[in-house]
Amino acid sequence: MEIGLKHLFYAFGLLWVLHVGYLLNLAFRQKRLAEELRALKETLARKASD
Amino acid sequence: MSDSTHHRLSLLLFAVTAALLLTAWYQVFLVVPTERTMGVIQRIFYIHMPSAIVAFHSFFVVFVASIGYLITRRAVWDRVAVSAAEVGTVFCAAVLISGPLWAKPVWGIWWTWDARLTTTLVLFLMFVGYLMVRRYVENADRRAVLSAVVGILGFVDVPLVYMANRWFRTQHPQPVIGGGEGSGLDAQMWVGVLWALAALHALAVFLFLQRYRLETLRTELVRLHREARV
Repeated sequence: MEIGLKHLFYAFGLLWVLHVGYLLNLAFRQKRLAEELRALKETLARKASD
Repeated sequence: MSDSTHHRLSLLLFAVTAALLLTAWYQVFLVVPTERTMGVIQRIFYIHMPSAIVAFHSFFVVFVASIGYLITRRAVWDRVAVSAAEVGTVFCAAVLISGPLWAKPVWGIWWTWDARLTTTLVLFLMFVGYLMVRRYVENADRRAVLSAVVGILGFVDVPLVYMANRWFRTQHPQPVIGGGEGSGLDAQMWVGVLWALAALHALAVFLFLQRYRLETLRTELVRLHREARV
């Protein structure tokens, strides 16, 4: 493979991984917080009804 | 913003971003002409320069939101600032990854400590510092004030990065856009640049929205924990 083509491929590939990785990281953090929030709301509702 | 509004807006932005990215990369790889001296490797320009512009714009949002927070002390400014800072740092990392991959085949070296490259690295490190302040300062008010100050100071480096290869002789090429006489781009290359700019800005807005949502959930969680303790 031509050297320029190889570096071009690496650049676009790595940036793709960077952006998708960040997006997945955000989705994972959102999911974890949403679950924590739901559990806390349930606990508070249970306490209120007791 | 309600959950369903966020979901609908996210879907719309995702579709727009995907369409713009596909169009941009079609233009970059199949339409724009190959540069005469550097050859195919010059196409990194279409992701390197727009990533830098997106990072600059994100850090400008941090700057404005940080000033907004220091004046009003409203939490919404703090949420906007941290969301833009994280997205800006990701795009700044993209610049620092694509730059050396372009430099090696063209200059023969991965990195050199010239003014443009060094100020860009300093900018990246400033905002990594910003994110570390967010992580390690426990008190919410102190965290917001400290990070607003770091955000404002960090943005001061943006004009320095922009002007570095105008003020100093650098290994980094002289600017091709806004560089005065003798600079400029082929009209077809401009089309590629504009599509890439639009696509990466749309991606940044989409990522910003997701990061802002995360910060809203965190705020809500902290509020409920406080209520549970009372």
